Amino acid sequence: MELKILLKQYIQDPQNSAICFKLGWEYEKIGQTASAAGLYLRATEFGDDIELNYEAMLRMALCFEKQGDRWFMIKGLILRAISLLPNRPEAHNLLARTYERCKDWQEGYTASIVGKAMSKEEPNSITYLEYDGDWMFDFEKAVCGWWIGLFDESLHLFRELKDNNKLNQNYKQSVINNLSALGGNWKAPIEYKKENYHDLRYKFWKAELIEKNYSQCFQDMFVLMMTGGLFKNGTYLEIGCADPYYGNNTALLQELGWGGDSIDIDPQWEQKWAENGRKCEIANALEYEYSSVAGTIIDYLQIDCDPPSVSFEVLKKIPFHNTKFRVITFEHDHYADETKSIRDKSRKYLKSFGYELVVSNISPDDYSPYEDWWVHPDLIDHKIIEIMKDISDLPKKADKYIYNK
Amino acid sequence: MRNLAKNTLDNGGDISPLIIPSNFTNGTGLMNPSIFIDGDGILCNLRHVNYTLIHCEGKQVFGNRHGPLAYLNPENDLNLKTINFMLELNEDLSIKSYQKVDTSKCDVTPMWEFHGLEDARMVKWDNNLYITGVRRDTTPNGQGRMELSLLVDNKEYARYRIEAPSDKDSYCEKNWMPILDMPFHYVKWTNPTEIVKVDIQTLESETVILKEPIIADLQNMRGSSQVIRIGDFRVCIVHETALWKNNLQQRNARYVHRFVIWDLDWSIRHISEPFNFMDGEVEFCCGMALYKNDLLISFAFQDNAAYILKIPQSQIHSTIWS
Repeated sequence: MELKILLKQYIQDPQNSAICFKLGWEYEKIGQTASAAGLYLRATEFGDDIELNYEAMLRMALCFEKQGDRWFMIKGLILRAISLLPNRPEAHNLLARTYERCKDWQEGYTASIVGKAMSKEEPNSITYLEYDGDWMFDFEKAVCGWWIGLFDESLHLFRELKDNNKLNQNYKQSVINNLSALGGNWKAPIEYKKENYHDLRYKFWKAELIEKNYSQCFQDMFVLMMTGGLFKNGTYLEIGCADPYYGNNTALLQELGWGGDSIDIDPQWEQKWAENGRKCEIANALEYEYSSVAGTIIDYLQIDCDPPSVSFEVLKKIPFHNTKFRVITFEHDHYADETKSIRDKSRKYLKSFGYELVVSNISPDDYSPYEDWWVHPDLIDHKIIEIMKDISDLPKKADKYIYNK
Repeated sequence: MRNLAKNTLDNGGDISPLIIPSNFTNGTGLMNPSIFIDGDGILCNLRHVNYTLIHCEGKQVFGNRHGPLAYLNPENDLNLKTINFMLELNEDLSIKSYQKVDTSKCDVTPMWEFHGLEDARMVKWDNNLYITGVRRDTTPNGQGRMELSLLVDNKEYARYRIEAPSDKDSYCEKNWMPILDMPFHYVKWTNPTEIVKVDIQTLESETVILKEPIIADLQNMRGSSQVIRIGDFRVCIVHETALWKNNLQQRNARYVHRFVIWDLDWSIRHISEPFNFMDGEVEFCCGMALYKNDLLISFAFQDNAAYILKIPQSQIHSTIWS
């Protein structure tokens, strides 16, 4: 009925751009996108209201998007709208989204950055132009960035978006799906090689003899730095040990004569450790009996379980009241922790037992803080602590930290 | 220029949009409806196309690389496809039912890029219901010929492709206007008036009446509606097309329409002043009918929307003799 009323208004005043727009909107609401597009174009052709022209161009683009496979025209309409109001966000967002849907990744990545930078005005439209906030630029940047090889940045953006409460449910789910599909929770180890010796942040005793390491982010090298260098008979308790060599934090230590207990909940590792001449105990770290380490000083404690809430529960099971550890690496996975609470809880807990945070927010890239590294100040040379200390809030890319770049 | 819809509404008439749900059409153009009164029923053939017409009619500043007049197809399918829907209308001209015309019995693989029967007009001759329009998909070069499609229960039962009466090599024959009260006769051209008779057995046509032109500068009128009988006259709507190019040599076009009135001897008695329907530059009429003393005219606006205009009895004379 509304359509017929507007139709009659249009007939009385067929070059009134506001009426053309309204009639177009009535047609669009019932899916008649061709009728709507013709009237939106007519609104722009006869109208002088730049804001209405802007919106009409974008509505045309949305109509053609619904019709499907009219991308060239859609891009042209959106660009024309941008030329009218370059500081409004709606068109920039649609442009970035259109490039993304066309798999024009480089264009989409750039349009998302330019669009966000240009969008100095607030959205202001009569109809919904599918713009919900500037996080949408980050979403397009993350998607397009991945496809042009900017993996770390893409994952970082998706993780930030996952924690952004402004996202609607569709986008939230898409972010979760992307994070799941992109497998962003594991980074290949950053390998230390002998030729990197001169770059080491602290050249521990006989460090020049180390040929290579195994840890994901130099945890083994950090342990050796803090404990002063190569000595035999060091001890460790490795909780969440996973592979016996690849990304493992105690493989190098064992090669140097250390010994200790390695446990993991996943039975797949038992045989692989055995095949490599190492021993791994399959156990649930939450039910493990830690009394065997009570009353001793252990040189290194690793806690690396999933999810981070489990790591924290394990941490609480450790008998800190009667056991000391020279070095602790604790994986809080802050970048992926939905509660964003484990990092702070673990810090308070370890500080309560006298441990000192030496390095915060270690990350395999510039975006993914996932571990804190601790020492017991009674058991570590304070000069080394001074050299190694970096507890700013920023993520610390592991190689930049360990090589003091 | 006279806006026929405004004129009609201002004088007690009405207008009704013809819309079928977009899940049948993908939202693209519904156009060129052809109304027909069948006994007590009101039927209307409605053309659906897979494109959207983009036409800059005002300041010419929101164009695109295709120019001010462009047909926006899917990028992966540049064929211009037509299908027809048969509508049954209520007395108030709202849609009672709609159904796609089933052409599967007669269809062959298209050989050119315009697919389907275009701008079909409805007609009932010898108690058989037909839609008749131009088809251009049967030859590799897009040669157009008028066709008659016999409909039985909304299915195309037979298809008759009619040869031109004289120039057998003519490229495109279209917009012949069926004369409702003269079975198998069309007005092939309006001024000079040329009446052709077609034979669906031989698929030939012959010119049976050829008049002298009556107004020298109005010889470019092309067919639009059917030719209907009103009293002692035969009446139709024709269209004229103005074509030009802008500074970028991109094409543009404008259509205007006129009523043409013949006496029963096919002498033109009146050609109206030009008019448009709704102030659009691309509009097209494929149907006209008398219904309960009102005059119904079915037309399309911008190739993207279809309407029926109802001119009340009191206004018919002044409208067509204007």
